[in-house]
Amino acid sequence: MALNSPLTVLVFALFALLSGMGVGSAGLPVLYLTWVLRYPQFEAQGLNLLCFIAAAGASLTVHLRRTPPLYAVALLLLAAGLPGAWFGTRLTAVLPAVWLRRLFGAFLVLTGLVGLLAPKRTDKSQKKNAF
Amino acid sequence: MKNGFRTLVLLLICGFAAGFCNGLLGAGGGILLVLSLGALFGKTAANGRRFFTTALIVMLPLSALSVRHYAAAGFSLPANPWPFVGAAAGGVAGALLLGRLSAHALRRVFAAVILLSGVLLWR
Repeated sequence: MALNSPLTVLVFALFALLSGMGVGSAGLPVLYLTWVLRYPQFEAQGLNLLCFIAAAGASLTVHLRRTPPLYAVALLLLAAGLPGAWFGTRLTAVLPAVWLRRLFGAFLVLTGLVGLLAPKRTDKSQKKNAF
Repeated sequence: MKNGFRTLVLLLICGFAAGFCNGLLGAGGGILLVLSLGALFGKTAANGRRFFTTALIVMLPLSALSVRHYAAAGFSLPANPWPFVGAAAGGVAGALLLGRLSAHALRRVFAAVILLSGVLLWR
């Protein structure tokens, strides 16, 4: 099976659907790429980023019409995120594959726990003067 | 003023961590931002959607930058666009469904799958 198989297109579309719904794909395409298609962890992460760019870019056309983002907050986050991304990618290029896989596993466990333990969001719990 | 400065510093730390996580693992920056913004500004359904859109708008350029660095480190960009066309279609469909379906139960099931997958990666 290869990256251009219909199943891969379907799997990417499904993960993107979950991501667009706000459920999050949490890098699950990485697991599909490493376990099913036998891609190396580093390559799989790169493809996951491309999958995210396609999904997020397309879904933003809908989200932006419905819900305006916090532009000032986004600018701050982006300004700090750029050096963060630089350091992260530098580290991923030198880390042994087994450590990269384990770090990714730890990230999935944390994400899973947060998802399982997070309370349901309701408007009743709104903090005063949130913005 | 003091509280505003604290929020500013926390936002910068969250932004750095999200960029770092996304660059290191190729994922995770978005969820980190949504959780952080929820903790900083308050979790409600309406806020959640704004945080989600904000996280997307931040993670898009950060992911593009990460891909650029990945490519410089040896990652070969795929010639076949179809999986990403599928992802774009899925992303739009998911965005249209957001708010129409209750994602809560789905999120719990999904979280359990993620948790199990993470444990399996440590084998």
